[in-house]
Amino acid sequence: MNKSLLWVVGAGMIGLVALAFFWMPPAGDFVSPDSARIILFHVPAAILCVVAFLAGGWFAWRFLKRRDPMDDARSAAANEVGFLLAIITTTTGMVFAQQQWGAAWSWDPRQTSILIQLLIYAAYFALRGSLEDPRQRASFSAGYAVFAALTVPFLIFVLPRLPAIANSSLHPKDTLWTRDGLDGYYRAGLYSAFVLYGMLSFALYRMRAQIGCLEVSIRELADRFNAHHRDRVGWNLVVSDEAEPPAEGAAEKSG
Amino acid sequence: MPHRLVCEGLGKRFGDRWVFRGLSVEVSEGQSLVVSGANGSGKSTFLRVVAGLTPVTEGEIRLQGVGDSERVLREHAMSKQVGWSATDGALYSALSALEHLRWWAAIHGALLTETELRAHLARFELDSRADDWTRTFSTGMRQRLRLAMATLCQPRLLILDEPTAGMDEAGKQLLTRVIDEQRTRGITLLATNQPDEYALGDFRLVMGA
Amino acid sequence: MAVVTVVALGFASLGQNLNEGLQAGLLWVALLFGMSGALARGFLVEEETGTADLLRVGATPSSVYAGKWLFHGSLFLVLSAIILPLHALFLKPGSVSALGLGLMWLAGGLSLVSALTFCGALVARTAVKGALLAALAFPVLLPMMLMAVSGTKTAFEGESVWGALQGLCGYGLMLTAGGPWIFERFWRE
Repeated sequence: MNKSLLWVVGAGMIGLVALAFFWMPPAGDFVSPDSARIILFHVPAAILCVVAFLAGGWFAWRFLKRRDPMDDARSAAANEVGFLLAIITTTTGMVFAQQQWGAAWSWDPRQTSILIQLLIYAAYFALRGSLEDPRQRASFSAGYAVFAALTVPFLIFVLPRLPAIANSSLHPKDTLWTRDGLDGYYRAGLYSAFVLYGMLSFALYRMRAQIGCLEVSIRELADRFNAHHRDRVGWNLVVSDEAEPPAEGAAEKSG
Repeated sequence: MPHRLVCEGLGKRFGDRWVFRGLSVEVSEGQSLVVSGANGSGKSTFLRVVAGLTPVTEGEIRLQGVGDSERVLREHAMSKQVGWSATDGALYSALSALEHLRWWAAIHGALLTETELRAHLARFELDSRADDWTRTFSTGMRQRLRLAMATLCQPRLLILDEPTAGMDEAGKQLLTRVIDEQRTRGITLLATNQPDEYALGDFRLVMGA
Repeated sequence: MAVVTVVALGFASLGQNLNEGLQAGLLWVALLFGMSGALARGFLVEEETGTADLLRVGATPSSVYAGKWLFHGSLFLVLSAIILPLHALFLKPGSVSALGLGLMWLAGGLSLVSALTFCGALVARTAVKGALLAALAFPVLLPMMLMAVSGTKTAFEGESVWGALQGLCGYGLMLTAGGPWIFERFWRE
């Protein structure tokens, strides 16, 4: 299923590029009208990045509740996909800024907030990397992931819209939600881009989560194998002379 | 209902190495279990796991007969039922022995007066140094203070990891007294490699054998 | 260290007026410097000396977290008591909105204390504490510092801090409420 999904997404992405460059008209009132085409790549990535981070936070929360190692694998996978989408958002945004605002990076509030978001998740991966024990790694990084996910709506939705800050931003606002923000071409292109990006993110997430879940199963299988061979229960129970034996040894119990 | 400590199929892994696996043991109220074994065989790890300081990799620990229902030890409500003392366990170097006990009583919600606390210290022969900082204490005195803290709130489950290391003869007799007292109100787990202390347990678990 | 920062900058800017943005930034940098020095005395010292095990056996996670939070909070109060008068003395801000400044101080302090407590707890048990603490705490602190500085700047200009205050309060409350819940779930790992 993964493979066919990837084929569809791959073909769709080529179609999307063609759509963006040959079908959609340039936007008239922009400094460089052609740069508006990048909306098809920038906006879906930005919104799905939020979705992925929130999903990562949700799985982390579920891990902390249920302690299922698979949930940790899912959380990490969602956050990795979110991180990738955040990088795409940032780079496409910088290309647009170079064309439209004259500089790739101008510490616009939106740029600042996504940079912070990237740093927060970079720290998440650093934390994962620094913990050896799988269980400890899962709990600590899940704790941080819940925390990081809480900052997402704040950094993406609240901070850039604060009145004191919003006025200094060059970033287009509320283009998606207003009636005349987009014409028919852009609307259609954007919706198909959303569908494609959604499928792409889902495919990437699924593959990454499957790898993570396989790693968990490999560990469990290895444990069972080791229990029967090399590390076969390295202890036993000796009952001393003077007392009744209320303890039960269970050397055969594992495995 | 008498208490019962039930460990079922406990396993602990550090990285790729299993310290122990498939460890099942039951201890009832009034009994004590001696845990012995070579260095590195997992005695301390087993006790830490039971004390709730380290999560198990697999298996389950229950302390039955406390409150209305069986509860898993890791629940924080359980911390009031556990007394723990380990040889390498740290103390706050800038607090006196008395302050340690006062603090320990406070976080357990136990209302003990100054005289009660001093009396408890006297039982462990620490009353003459009650107001000195613990950084000035000798190894044996630190061990006594740890024992005093572990027994202060009369825990259902007393966990002692090599409590007589560095202690003199009087200290060893103190341990015997502590364990005898504990028999009247709960369970003792004692990790030791001193053959003369094996008799303190009703039965003995040999790890890594 | 925090005092040195304020004094040094006050001295360097002798005779010239720093603009409000710089003054606000300076105030928060000094507070952050002072607080970060204290991190080592929070959770880190408990783990390093091994007394954290005593806390794990004896105390409930929420009381441990509350204790450390109060420690950092009282430190913030002490630091503020030193730095705020020094700041006023050396930098002589003009028409200050006292209410605005007070509110920013309160909301900013809440966020700062909660963020540092949480990050300290998370990092205390990892192998590479110092480097990781910076990596974890920096992004969590950044949004809060941005808002605190921008709000304090408007307060120094004598204007309304309402916008930044809303954001800062939201962030601070989120950190304060979320911290203990998450902490309970990894404290005994």
